[in-house]
Amino acid sequence: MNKASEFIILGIITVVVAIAPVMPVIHISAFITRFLIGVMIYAIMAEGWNVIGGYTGYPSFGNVVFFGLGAYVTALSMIDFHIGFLISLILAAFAGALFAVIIGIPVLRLKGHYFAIATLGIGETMMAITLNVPFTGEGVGLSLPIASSSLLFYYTSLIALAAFIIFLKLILSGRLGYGIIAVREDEDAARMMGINTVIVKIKAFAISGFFTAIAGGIYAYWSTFIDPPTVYDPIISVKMIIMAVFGGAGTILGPVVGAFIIMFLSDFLSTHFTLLHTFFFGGLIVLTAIFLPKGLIDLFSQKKIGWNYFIKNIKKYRV
Amino acid sequence: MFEFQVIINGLLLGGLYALMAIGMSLIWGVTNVINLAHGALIMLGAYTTFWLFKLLNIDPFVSLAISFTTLFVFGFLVQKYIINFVIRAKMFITLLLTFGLDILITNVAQTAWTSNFRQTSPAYSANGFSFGFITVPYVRLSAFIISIILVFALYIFLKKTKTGQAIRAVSQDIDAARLMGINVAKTFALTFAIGSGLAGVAGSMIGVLMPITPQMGGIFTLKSFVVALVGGLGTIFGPLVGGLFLGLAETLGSFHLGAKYADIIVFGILVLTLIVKPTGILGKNDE
Amino acid sequence: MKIIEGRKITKRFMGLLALEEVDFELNKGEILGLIGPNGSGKTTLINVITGFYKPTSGKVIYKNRDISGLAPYKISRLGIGRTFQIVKPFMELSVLENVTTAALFGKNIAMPKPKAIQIANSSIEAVGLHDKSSYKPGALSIAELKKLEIAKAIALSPDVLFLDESMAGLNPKETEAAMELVLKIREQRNLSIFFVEHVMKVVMGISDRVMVLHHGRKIADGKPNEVVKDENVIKAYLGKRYKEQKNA
Repeated sequence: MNKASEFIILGIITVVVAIAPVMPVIHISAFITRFLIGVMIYAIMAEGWNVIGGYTGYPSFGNVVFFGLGAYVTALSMIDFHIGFLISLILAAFAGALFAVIIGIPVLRLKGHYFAIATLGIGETMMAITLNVPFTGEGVGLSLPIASSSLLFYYTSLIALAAFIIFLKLILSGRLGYGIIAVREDEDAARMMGINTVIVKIKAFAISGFFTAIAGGIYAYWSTFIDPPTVYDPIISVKMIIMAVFGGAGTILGPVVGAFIIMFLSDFLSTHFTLLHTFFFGGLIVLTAIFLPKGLIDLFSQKKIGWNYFIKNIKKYRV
Repeated sequence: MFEFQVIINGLLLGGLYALMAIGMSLIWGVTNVINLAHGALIMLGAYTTFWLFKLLNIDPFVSLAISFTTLFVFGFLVQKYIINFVIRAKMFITLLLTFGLDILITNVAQTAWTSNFRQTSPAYSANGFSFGFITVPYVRLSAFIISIILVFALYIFLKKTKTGQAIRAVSQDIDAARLMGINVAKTFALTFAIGSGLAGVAGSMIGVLMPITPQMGGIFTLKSFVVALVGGLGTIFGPLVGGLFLGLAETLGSFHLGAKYADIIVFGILVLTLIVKPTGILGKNDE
Repeated sequence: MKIIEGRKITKRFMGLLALEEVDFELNKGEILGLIGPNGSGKTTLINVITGFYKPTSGKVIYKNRDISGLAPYKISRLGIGRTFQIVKPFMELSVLENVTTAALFGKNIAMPKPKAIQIANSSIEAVGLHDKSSYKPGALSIAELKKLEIAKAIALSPDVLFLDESMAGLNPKETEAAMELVLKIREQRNLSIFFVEHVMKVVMGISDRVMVLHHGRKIADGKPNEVVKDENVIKAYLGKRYKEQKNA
């Protein structure tokens, strides 16, 4: 990585880490607070996808399942059982992890395309099931109690995101992390190297489900209303993926960077260039897939940044 | 008595599903791309026929050829100038790309034509013939027949024509095909073009049977996928078998368990197939 | 003393009989070479022994324990390492990270990372790759990639090592170096080695014993210079006509 880029990135991280905790207190705008909460919720989900998709090499197209599950568990826990928010979040997290293990056992046996579509199918099924199960309020949805201030969500999502990143860094430098990357790089070689790939994959998926469910829980309480089409929307799965890929799948900060930039652009366009905004996501996905499949972080890690990078990518992957 | 009607409905629906899935199965089998924009192409076909009918009074069945051609050209360009650029990247990048295309196409359609429900309604759209307690709507029956004709047409095309053989060569071994002088990029584009054209035809028929909106494609992509998978990937008659299977399963299931379970049945079949026999009904066994 | 043996190993794929009642034994500290014409089932045999395939029938006994059909990762952890014919390095990781991965999952399950790195470094040194430790596999030559495969296998701290055509694609000088390496690691690490090879020079040069497969059956087993003169072996490689010509 060239020195200038490294310096800039380190600078940005320092500023962010220093200011983030005190942002809402020193800053005025509720609008920005709301924006940041949205960014952090998506950042958690993008990072969650990154664990199973970017690091383990199993691209799930249905991670919205954990988001929705987390949202519903949190909502039901708070509404029906009057459990506090934070404890509900923890319940949601474990529900997400457990669900990941349950669907992971059959589904993680599938390779590539098949895994992707199976997870896509499961995502859609959950929407259909939730629409038909009585205690979830079916199509009508659930209304949660209103919280006193949005600071709660700001700090909860900030802490969750920070905790996730630190947790991820620890995992990746240890045995599980090496196992995860080995599975991605060459699963057969990994099996022959003493790695129990089944367990490794399931653990990765469980981590993904755990944190994605937390994001869902925060969202549920924050927006005070959830229903199946909103929290099981398959577009959410794709948004997570594009944020992680655009920022850099397989890097720790990529998903966070991706979430921030994409949410920012999306908000910006929707207020100033509404026509462009409709084509934003589709266009972004197409352009990223063709020109930036390794993400921004890889782009900025190059010794020299120029057109050559993009041309090299295209030459490598074209027909 | 009812049961028999339900079975007929199931078969007719199956024919429609087969028609939807042929295009996706062809593309998947040859280029190994799962086209998540397939539903959007179906949607475009539906709109093409709708506008031709509404503005120029062209009968939907006549417009099938136009629908095919329009989507053929569109598909050719999409493959040649977009998908061909990422085709050797990791599989999920192509999946992501086609998903992005789906979103883009849907958004363009929405901007151009709004989300208002449309329907192509020629005079005969509600008619059918009946014997005894059974009714068979004309349009559904035609869709069924058209799908069978197209499957056989495709079969003959792939086996007997030079282009068809080039396509088959590419689907077996890209490098060997290249060595034989086959232009792989162009063959991919042609395959996607044919697949898109077939999707267009399916869309044209669907537009007569169901309401048309820009978002209609999503569920069709998933169902086409299930049909292609269940029938057997890389086989020409797979979509026919898979379509009939899904049509019957869905209709019988809805009838006995309730309409809201229709979707769950579809996804259930998907997940079960992937886990138990991913190669589908007609597919060979993997080692 | 036998460290690993196979009894009547049979492997059938759909209609194809790849291995038919193959017996073998490997004694402690021995180097056993496995040769045979293309398609005779050599790699299949290694795959069955190391758990990549389950045997259709027959047994693999390792240190007096039946390991037939165990999951590959379990077999690795028991002390059996292998290399692949077509090398499988982890492309996005450096050489050191590649070998550290293996070291982390070898015989000692609760291996702390610093110790794993130590083991990785010693394996990398043993194969002579220490100056390329921080490189990614993309920057290595084929000979170096083969060395990396071996380093990964020995970082598991195995007692038995299966080498599948580790010398394929090497030039004569590299082959000599590889032969020395195999002898050296057998010595230094108390290994028993079972290797598959096409290059006769290697087989004759380092094997204590040689085994020959043909159409999935074992047709010879003994000292290298005996096996080479065995009529059945000659016939298998050169065909019936050669034998007839010779006798004519």
